[in-house]
Amino acid sequence: MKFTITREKLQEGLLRVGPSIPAKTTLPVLSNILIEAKKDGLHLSGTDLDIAVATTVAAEVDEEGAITLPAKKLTEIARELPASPVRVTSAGEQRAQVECGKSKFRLLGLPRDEFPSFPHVKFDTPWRIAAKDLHKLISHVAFATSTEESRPILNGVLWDLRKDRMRMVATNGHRLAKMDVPLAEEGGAAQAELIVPPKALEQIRRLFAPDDLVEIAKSENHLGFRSEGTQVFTRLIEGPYPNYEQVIPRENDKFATVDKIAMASALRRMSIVASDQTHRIRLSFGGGTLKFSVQTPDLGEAQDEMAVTYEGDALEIGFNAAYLLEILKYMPTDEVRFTFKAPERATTAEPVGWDDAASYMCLVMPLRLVD
Amino acid sequence: MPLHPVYGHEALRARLVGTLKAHKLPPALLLLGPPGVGKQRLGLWLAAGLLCESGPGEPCGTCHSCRLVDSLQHPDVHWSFPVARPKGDESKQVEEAEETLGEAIAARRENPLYGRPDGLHALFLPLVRLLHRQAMMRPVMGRVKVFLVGDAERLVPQASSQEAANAMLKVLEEPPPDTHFILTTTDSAALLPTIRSRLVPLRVRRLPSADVARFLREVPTPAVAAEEAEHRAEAALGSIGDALEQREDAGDVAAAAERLLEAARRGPAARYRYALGVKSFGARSDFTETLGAAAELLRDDLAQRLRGAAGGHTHAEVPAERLVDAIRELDRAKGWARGNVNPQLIVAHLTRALGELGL
Repeated sequence: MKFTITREKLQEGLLRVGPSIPAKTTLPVLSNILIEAKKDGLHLSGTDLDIAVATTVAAEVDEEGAITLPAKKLTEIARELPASPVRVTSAGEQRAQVECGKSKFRLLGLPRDEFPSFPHVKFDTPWRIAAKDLHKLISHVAFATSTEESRPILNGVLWDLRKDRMRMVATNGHRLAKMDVPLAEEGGAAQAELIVPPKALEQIRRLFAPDDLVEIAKSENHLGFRSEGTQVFTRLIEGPYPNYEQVIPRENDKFATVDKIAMASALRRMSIVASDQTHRIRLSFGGGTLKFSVQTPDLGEAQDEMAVTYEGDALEIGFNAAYLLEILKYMPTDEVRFTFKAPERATTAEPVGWDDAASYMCLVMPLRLVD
Repeated sequence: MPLHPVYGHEALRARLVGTLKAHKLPPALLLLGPPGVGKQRLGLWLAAGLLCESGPGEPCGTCHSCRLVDSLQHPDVHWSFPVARPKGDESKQVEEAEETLGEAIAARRENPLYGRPDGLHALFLPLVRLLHRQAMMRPVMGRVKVFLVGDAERLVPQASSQEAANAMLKVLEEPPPDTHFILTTTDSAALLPTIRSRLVPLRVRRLPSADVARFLREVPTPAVAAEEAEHRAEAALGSIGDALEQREDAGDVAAAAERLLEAARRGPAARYRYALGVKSFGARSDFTETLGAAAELLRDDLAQRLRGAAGGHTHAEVPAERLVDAIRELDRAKGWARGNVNPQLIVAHLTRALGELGL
């Protein structure tokens, strides 16, 4: 294998693949980057087995070939190289020489054969979405996944892909976030419901710029994303995802519209005195006012209130303040509309006056009030 | 270093190849057999057969997948076995278990010949949670994922702590569709009955001495000389593990077993003195071996008597039925030791029981 590449292109490629390389791994080859010199340029790939990133950068290839080299060291070398073309030559399956100006490095790698096979995802009939919409979906939904080990399926985000829209849903069983984004261009072979690890979604958000158009395709076990020479693959979580539609209330008949900042501020104040275990606070709606109160044995109590627009019978309801704060944090508008049925029934929250084609909804389960 | 080939078990392997080819391999298997006969190696062979690029069937040994399995690097083969209890923050114990297991596998990658698990090592809950986490992900490169769980009796490190076994049961109750579980054990009675009922048992028998001797000549470095290999193979009774582990302290274990039986013959004061002299911890290490060796001594005695052989046996005055009861007591004591009961308590109870039987 022999190729010449500009320092900038090498750095660009390594920067894209770098985050998929695990910091700690028990499989030594995963600390390496797979470098394949082909006629169309230099292909760089890395994986931590859950996420795989492959990118192609322009290079002058004299002799095709492949090797894996330690990612961290190669990145450090590329960063420190002088501004001259970089010449890389492999000697056998496990050694490579990197030359740039008067600097020379000999690196020991591992044979390409030890590198796990990359996922085969065909992009024949992909879904297409603007990366900014993808970012929106991820940033407003992925936070709601569970971190508990007991129900691993809830550690993933449900991604419902249709011809004309994409939906993401995440929940930990106590609160849920759901967003629908219409697709500007119809695509995708069929409908698919996939469960994706949030760590992979974070990588996707990081790797694709908002202006990119991202193609998405799936195989049996992986989901692939592609844009301008970079491909990201994520392993899927085994399904099926619980029937979340069942818990979304349709008959809530009490409505409150609140100022997001004022409510978050009051919730933070109440949280100081709330129990560290339950974060339980009491919300009382009625007569255009929302009263907050909290009472924690051995600690004390606190009250606060704010003006709201409220329709319906007076209601006293308990919540985990941390969940409400989290939901408010991700609401894209200044005003938020809450709907209720009864103190033991699910509550929903939606943005008010959101100037966006997407639709967004969060749900939170109340806590029983102990009087 | 790649794994050594599988030695022996030709009939069992032929049966397994048949079920693999017919796509009829049960998704949860229990390889059951004496220690050191190659159950976990057979499990890895089976994993290679499931994932072989020209399979499923007999692993070809040359495709990318087979080579990755043979070098313990296949991302869809998850091998778990007893390791030390994670000590860190509870929220980080799964990661700690993953790291500990990873280091142990790296060591086996360097030297695939390993000994019996340490007495204090077990398949603790964080390890099973790790397995659960891996089981929920789709395969990385193969058709299926394979989970090999060695020494599965250690899912219950103590009679009172069944959390890991219950977590394992949860995975076995609702296994993901593309997943195979292969558990191995020397003692299926030590598994929860609910786990046992979800596994298809396959007996892995002792190997012919010729296979053990061939292994000793061909695999270890340095190789064992032919004559010594024959000798060790004979003594190992079909267990490669035993043949490899024939240690210099084998005599010490036998002597400790003699001392235990001797203490039972004396009065209560001497028995308690002996019990107090035993370590109060580490029930599952040397102590279990001592109990096993004592049972073996009594079995030998009984066998000689049944054959009518004259002399040699030390309990000539004890009726054969009582010897059987004594062996049963020793086996019960081994069960307690497996459950990590304080060895001093076990010895106090055992020596009294053996004394009452007239040993």
